[in-house]
Amino acid sequence: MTAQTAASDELLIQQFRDGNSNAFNELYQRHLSSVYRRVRFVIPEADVEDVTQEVFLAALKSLGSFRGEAQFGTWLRTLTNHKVAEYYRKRNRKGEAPQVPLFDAVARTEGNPSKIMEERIALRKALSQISDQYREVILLRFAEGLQFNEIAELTGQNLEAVKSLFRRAISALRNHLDK
Amino acid sequence: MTEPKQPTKNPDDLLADFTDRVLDGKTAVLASSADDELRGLEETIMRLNQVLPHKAPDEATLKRLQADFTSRARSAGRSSRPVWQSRQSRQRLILAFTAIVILVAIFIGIPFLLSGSGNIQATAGLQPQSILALVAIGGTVVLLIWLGHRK
Repeated sequence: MTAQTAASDELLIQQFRDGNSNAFNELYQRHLSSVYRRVRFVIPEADVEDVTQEVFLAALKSLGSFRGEAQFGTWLRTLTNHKVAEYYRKRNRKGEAPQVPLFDAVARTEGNPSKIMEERIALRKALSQISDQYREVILLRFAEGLQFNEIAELTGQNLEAVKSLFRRAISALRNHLDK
Repeated sequence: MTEPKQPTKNPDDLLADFTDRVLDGKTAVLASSADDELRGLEETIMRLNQVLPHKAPDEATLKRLQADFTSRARSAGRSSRPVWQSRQSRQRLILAFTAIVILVAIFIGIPFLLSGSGNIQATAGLQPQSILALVAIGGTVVLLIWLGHRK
């Protein structure tokens, strides 16, 4: 492992501020997978790449104002959530119907494609209706694939509290799905 | 005499364990829970797992995204940078400003230099000093254009 890959996010940010544009590439490579997975969990397949890139472009633009009060990964998650919200705001303004590309649904799961499409829309809608805290714990476990103990470490909670939050989040999601 | 009871896990732990198994691909069926509420939550976990995509992108996708991002970042940098922050634009602005200063100096200075006095006489048609001034202006403009394109 090189010194560059071993560098912390904070060090890379400092190097970027000092004019080393390769430092941002390193940050991009390091966080791309988790941002992509988070976006893909909540946004139709056709727009996943665009929104993912918009997140990093926004990060590139505003990295100068990043004050390091939170970890870079946490800051990036917040930025991703803003971009996802912005995406849905724009779509709602345009009055577009919620859509999931048919080929995507067919390719991923066997069964009735229109049923899967409906399911995906319903789940995403329910996710958008639960509280931020509930949505976040579901995204961390499902979309980013973090283990419960990693979520606990990241959020500064104990393991029991995270598991309890997760159960309540799933319960809230289920209530919205049943409506 | 009754047998000692096994310590029972609370619903939080049971659901967390079930989720871990599902995400590890170890369970495709619902756990046989006697608790209706827990069973309902496990169903929701299964739905999330089956319906929403959550697998990591493959290596080819990551590489494609990286290349696309590099090109987007480059074009975003070009279009969003204010004109005064661009080095080339700044040089052009300096050149334009220099040209204006030289032109103003020529207009003011040439009549004095050629006539040797501050009196400007009203004359019809082009005088030799006016021709000289025009040539100087033209020469300056050509020189500045050449300098601008040389960068």
